[in-house]
Amino acid sequence: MKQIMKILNNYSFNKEEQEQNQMILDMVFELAMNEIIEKEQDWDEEGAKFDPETKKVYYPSGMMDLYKKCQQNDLFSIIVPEKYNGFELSYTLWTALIEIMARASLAFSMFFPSQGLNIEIIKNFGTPEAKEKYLPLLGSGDAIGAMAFSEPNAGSDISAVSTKAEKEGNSYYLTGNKIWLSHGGAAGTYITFAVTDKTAGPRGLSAFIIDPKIAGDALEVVRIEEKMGLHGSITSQVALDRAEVPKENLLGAENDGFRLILGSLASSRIGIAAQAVGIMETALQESINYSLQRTQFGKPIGHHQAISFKLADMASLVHQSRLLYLDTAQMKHRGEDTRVESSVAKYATTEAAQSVTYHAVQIHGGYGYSREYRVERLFRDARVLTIYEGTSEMQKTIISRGALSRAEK
Amino acid sequence: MNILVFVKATIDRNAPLDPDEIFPGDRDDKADIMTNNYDKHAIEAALRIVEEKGEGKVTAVCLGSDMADKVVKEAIAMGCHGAIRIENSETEITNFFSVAKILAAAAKKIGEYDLLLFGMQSYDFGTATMAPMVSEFLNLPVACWVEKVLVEGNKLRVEKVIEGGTRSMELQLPAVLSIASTGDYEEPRYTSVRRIMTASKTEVPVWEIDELNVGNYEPNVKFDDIEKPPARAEKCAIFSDGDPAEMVSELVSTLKDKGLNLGAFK
Repeated sequence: MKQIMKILNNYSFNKEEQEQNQMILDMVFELAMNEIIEKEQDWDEEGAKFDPETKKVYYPSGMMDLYKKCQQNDLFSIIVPEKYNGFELSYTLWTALIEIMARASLAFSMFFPSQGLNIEIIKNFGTPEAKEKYLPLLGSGDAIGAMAFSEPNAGSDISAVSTKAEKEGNSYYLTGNKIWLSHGGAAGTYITFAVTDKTAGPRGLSAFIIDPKIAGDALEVVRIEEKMGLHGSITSQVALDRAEVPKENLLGAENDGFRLILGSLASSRIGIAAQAVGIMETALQESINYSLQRTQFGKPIGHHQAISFKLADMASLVHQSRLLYLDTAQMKHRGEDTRVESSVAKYATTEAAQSVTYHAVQIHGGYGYSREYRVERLFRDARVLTIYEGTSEMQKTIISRGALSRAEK
Repeated sequence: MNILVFVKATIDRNAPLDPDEIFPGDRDDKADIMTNNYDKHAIEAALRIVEEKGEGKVTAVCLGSDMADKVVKEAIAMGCHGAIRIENSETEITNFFSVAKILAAAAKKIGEYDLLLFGMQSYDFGTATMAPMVSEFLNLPVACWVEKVLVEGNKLRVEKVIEGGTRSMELQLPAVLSIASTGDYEEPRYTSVRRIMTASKTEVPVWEIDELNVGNYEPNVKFDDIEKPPARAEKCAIFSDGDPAEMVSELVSTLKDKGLNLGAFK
């Protein structure tokens, strides 16, 4: 906490804003460290559930009670504009909140980056009707925001999307399959892509908000994924069978969805970088505690250079990564274009998280491989970070394109 | 219903321990300070009483240096309607008797109150003396370690923790209560972003002790110093191998050598 505040106070927040940041993060820290962390192991063991009969999805026990506490504490409305009942605070504060939540449980922290992206996209590209309807719902947390981008044949290559949208009267009707949806089946808004002009390739894609209340049974969860980590979070496969989307829920102009979503992903990547730092911080703290407790060859293992140098490497990566995500978030808060910087932050921090969690397991020795110890879960959970919201390879593509284009100009 | 809740700034449980810096005023980093966690149960009780009655006002009162600003702001961010800080930067009054006299004088200056609430003890010194002392100075009825409060007209029905159970009591208002960390107020509410925004815009008045007509508040106990206890030189003796009967007699003779009173084992 002290580290985050030290960095935040270097930015151009006035005294009142600094006080607000401190108080909000103190409250988030208390909630995360008193309540969320206690459930983290149970959530991992119990996992999210799907009932094939009713097609309903369930978060593990107690998770929604804590989600409700986040609602009561107004956490989801931090970046919602004041006009829509939010507080319009900084993106920097928002990402710091994600780091603290991820320290307690990566699965629980999954509620925040996608909520943020839903809010961002609707705020920037939604019709006035959609803003009026969905921003207060997302801000209060009454609607969970989901992203439905990937398809069986369209992962990193989003332009290969085959879900089609047919316009009839005042609505579009979407048909296709979407995979890897966090919160799919539990969400109140889904942001998605579909083909509106099949002759135009990426320029024939449009972006929509699917409202499950309007789509009804035409949006159906087919299954949920059994994953290596992140067991507490729902990851679904969803089938759309002529799911109705009213024309007010079109985002931006028709056939402009690809450009619009690609630009928006930059901001949620900073949130993933914050998650990576949360996991790393916990892995580091667990390792420090263990290396002071565990004695071998007559002294705590933390006093053997082999281990202390590992701790030094880990602490350095955590600090670098924290500076990187907070600075990128602050750039975004100031309204600068962070498309390349977000990819740098996401790539560098999520790769660092692999190294830090790997060494955390190594420091714990045999115990690190045991399910009884936290680092085992951190290692499994961290693995997804270099994959979702754009793989490390995609980030490198974006970063190198940025670097080359500057030189070629 | 006007309720005063007395809150204390203590060193944060996550802050590094330093026997030379045991009072909030000794520290220069606000991150090292926290609201005495027991006081949050008192705030919860005050807010619940007012909410259930549908009317009233909760004011947080704190004796502390500017390091305690964080604590009064947190009280507002939990839902208190206002707060007062009594400046304690130069004098650094920490003696319990002196603090109780000052808090009682502050209550007198505020004047309009029906109920004075305290946490059951403090996180740092834990003397649990503030509520009874203040009630004595103000000549008010008191109940300590209260788990449940029911307001009936100008009377209070409370349940307080006693060893092995609870005891019901009736008190005439105005009264002083210390609130237990168990029972109805076990889970104090969090602050919320909305209330934090209000708190950060709320000006908290700062009173000087001189303005309170406290009278003599000289400490009645002299406080010298706090020191870390010396490290123990003695090592543990472990008897783990061999015949149990022999091990027992070895253990007993070792204890005898140390001069321990072994009662029947003599």
